[in-house]
Amino acid sequence: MSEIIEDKATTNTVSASVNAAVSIESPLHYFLGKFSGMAQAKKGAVGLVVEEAGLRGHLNLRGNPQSELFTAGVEQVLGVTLPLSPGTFETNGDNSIYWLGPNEWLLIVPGGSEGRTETALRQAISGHIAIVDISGGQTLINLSGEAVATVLKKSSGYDFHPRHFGPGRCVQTTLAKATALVSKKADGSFDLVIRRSFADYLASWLLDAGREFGCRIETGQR
Amino acid sequence: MLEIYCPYCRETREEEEFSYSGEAHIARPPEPEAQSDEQWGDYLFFRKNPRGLHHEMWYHQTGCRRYFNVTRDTVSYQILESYPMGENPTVTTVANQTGDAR
Repeated sequence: MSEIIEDKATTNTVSASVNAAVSIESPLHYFLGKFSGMAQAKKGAVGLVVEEAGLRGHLNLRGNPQSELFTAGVEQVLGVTLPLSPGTFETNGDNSIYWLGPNEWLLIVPGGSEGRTETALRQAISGHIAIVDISGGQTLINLSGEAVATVLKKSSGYDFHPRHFGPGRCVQTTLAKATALVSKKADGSFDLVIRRSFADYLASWLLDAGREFGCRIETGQR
Repeated sequence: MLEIYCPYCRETREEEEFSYSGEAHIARPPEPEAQSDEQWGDYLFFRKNPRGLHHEMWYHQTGCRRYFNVTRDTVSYQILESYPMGENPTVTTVANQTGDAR
């Protein structure tokens, strides 16, 4: 029986052991590159810095938070505590876990390690769980700068005021009529996890929204 | 615009994030084949349309993507409570509702 399970785990993660000969492009690679030259609308002042952290490993994890085997297994594999409070995330720099629902989390791991992480989780945790590799379906962009809170306020009905939305918080909400998982990092910048199919639209929106404050695009991997 | 409390996110969010999903607490008959046509038709198609308190399901579409229940006054649109799936409403009559609905 255990052999069959191991076989399955291997099959499930084949897609993640990417062939190095195949080139991979992040959803916004062409977009941000195209605008990176015409960065500043307002000379001198840069209120918003947009940067894509593309090609990370994204895994959707579901399981029972009341099961100690589950919470301990996740912590052991990722080195990050599973956040159990609604709207919070935990990170150790490399790996991050975002609360999405009472039994659902998003794991973001360094690009290329999602297959190993998935296999390790399946070995560490038994029982009724689900792990789905959704790395190809979404991307992560980082917004920083003085005007970032104002840009978010223009884009969403959610209250991003610091007294309500401090570091360590994350929220899934509507952003410019699309959806996004917005989180606030310890350095005061915001990470947005967005669908790749909306990436072009949302990036265009953010550039437009940030234009009045001066907007710079960084294409390097953050 | 309604402001709706999601019992899973434990926050009040804008109506834009939610979608309405019809009357709550409709249990599927355990033995559908034992139902008469009339009973099965009632279960499938017939819904209450009260003037006053209504227990209804909402879906937190762009948030945690969970269904939950809401007690709402269909006259004033005031939302009197939100509670997770599997729980029973605490507000069941106009008399024990809190606040100033009418």
